[in-house]
Amino acid sequence: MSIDLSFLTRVAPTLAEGLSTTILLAVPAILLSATWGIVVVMGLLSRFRLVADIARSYVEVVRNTPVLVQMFFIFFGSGFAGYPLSGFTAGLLALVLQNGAYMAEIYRGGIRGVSHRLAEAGLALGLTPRRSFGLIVLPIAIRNVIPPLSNQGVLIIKDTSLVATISVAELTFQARLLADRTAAVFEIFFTLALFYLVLTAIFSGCMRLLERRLRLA
Amino acid sequence: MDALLRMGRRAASALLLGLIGITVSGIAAAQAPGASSRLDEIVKRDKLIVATFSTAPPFCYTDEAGKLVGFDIDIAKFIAKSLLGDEKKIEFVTVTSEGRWPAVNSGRADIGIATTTVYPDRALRVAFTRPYIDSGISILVRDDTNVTNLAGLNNAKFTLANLSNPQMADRAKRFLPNVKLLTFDTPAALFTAVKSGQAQAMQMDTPVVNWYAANNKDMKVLPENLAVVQGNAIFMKPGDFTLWLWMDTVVQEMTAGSRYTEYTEIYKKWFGTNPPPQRFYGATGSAK
Amino acid sequence: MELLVKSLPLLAHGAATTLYLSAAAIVFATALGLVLALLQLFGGLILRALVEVYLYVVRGVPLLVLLFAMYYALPYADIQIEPVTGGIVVIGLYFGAFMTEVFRAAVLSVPKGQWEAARTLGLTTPRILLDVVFVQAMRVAGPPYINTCIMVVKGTSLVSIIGLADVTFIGKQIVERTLAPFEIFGAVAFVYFVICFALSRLGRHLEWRLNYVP
Repeated sequence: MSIDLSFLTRVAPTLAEGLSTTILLAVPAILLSATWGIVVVMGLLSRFRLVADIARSYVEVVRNTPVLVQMFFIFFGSGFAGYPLSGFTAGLLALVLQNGAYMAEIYRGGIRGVSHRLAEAGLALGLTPRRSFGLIVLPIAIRNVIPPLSNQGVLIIKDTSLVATISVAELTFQARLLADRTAAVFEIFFTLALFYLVLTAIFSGCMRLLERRLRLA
Repeated sequence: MDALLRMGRRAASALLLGLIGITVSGIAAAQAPGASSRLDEIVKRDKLIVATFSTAPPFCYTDEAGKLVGFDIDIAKFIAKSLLGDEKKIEFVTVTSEGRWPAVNSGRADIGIATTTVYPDRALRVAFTRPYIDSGISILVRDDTNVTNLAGLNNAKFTLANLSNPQMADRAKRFLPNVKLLTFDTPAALFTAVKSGQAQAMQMDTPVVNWYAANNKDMKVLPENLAVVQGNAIFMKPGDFTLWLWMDTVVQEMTAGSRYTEYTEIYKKWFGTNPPPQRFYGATGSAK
Repeated sequence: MELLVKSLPLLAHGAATTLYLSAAAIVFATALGLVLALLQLFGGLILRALVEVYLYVVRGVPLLVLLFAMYYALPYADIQIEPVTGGIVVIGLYFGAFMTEVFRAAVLSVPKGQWEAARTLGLTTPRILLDVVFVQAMRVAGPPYINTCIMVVKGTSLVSIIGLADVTFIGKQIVERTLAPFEIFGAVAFVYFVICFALSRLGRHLEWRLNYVP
């Protein structure tokens, strides 16, 4: 099996189209998960038992079921419930629900990880508990969670490949169609893997830059 | 001196016998056919391994008990019976739409019977027998779309469900350029999408579409076919003439020869009508 | 509801396959993770570089793409592999990389002092690892290891996309036949939940056992 480079240039446009859909899905997925994670962690840490319990159950259910099954459930279920969602929307929803829960756990770990003595020092300085949290604990927590968040972001980018099964024309979907059309399966999957490696490398690189800038701030 | 001569004679005769043995077996090997065929393997194994789908009613799908049933399944069992004497001497390997080619080409399955339409570009990668059933491509639509013909469907507010193969994509582009597309890798997934309302129409082999329409009162078939004169055939790894010839002969005998009666039974079981008449003279299989 | 009851035998079959795939993949991933972690910690420059490359590639490519490569691309290289075995190997290779990180971090978390003390006592590296470091590292590795195992179980759901009859595939089949996504996919999710929840309970129990100070 030889690698045919001219062939690669011919399939590149189709793959590039898939790549743009992947990015179009991954970016909102990451941002929305991060935001939803904040809501969830507030629920987890809430003073009200009921709210904390609901949040806890939600996190446990979502973390112990595969995101693929969640996607199928939402996609096929939405149609039969009368409000059919597109594959893109269903996939995005499933990704946000799943990763929001993981983000919430990361936030919780990050907040816990900040020594409570720092919060106490804030109180000793006369700050209210809320300001102590906001001015002292939170900035440190944010800095702490960037590495695991970046990790989670990479996982989200990779999980976008799953929406190919609910007919979203992202990268893996396009590659699969191409592989069916031609016999150059090796070249296609090799290129596909390369695309994802580059994508995740760029994302991790950006996150590392962000981490560095926050450290110096 | 005597002993040496005796040893020498023994050695020489051993050598001579050895040479004769090698020559004889060499001649015997030369007489045997060049490469052994997969057909011999099947007979030796006493079991036929068939690649098929599990989500393409009424050709190959799983029923409530999880058993694989369908027209293709019965045809496969019939072929096993013709070859090995017992329709139970068969093993099915279920594959996905793109997985059927590697399944036969890698040797995991002997042949594939999986509602597979014959196209020239596919024939580059696998060897097809003649078709064992006529096919075509039709469109199934929901009644509530109030669409009555192809032109009516060609509207951006409709979504068409397709299988993930290039022929379907090309046809969709050619006949229904304005519709939105939804692509899945199993026929049953297409139908689920139409039933749930995520798609309003689906493109599939004519017998399959007819079957769905017959079993679902809220769906109908559009009068125009996207393709009319097509056929579904058995496929296998190219290059094995012996296997291909036998399979093709069986299909010939089933559809227009000595096994037409059995074929008609299977056909009627799944489609309710007789298969197309074969000769303008003579009977056309079992009575209606 | 009675549809669910009727589908139970089929789903049970799928659940058995899922369990088998998960168990086999976990065993393989753990073994691979241990070997690679040791190589990363104690191997020569070339070995360490190779492991790094492997980790980088596997962590940057989706599991689905790897499964596709195994299922569609390998046959073209004349490599025949049973999909079930191939699935276990690919999932094991993928999560083995995660396990490597877990084990490596765990071993590194053991204070240097332990190593120095053990060496002054005359113990060799293998002995130190087994007798001194292992127990302490296990305490740290426990939770992330169990988490990775849970990820393996969830990862096996992807084999449904290449047609393996695990519980997700069977569930999808049943839904396509019966058009009842909520009950069936709900049941499928429940199966995974039970398996993963049991694993996390097991993990918490192990954690308690390891950290118990009488």
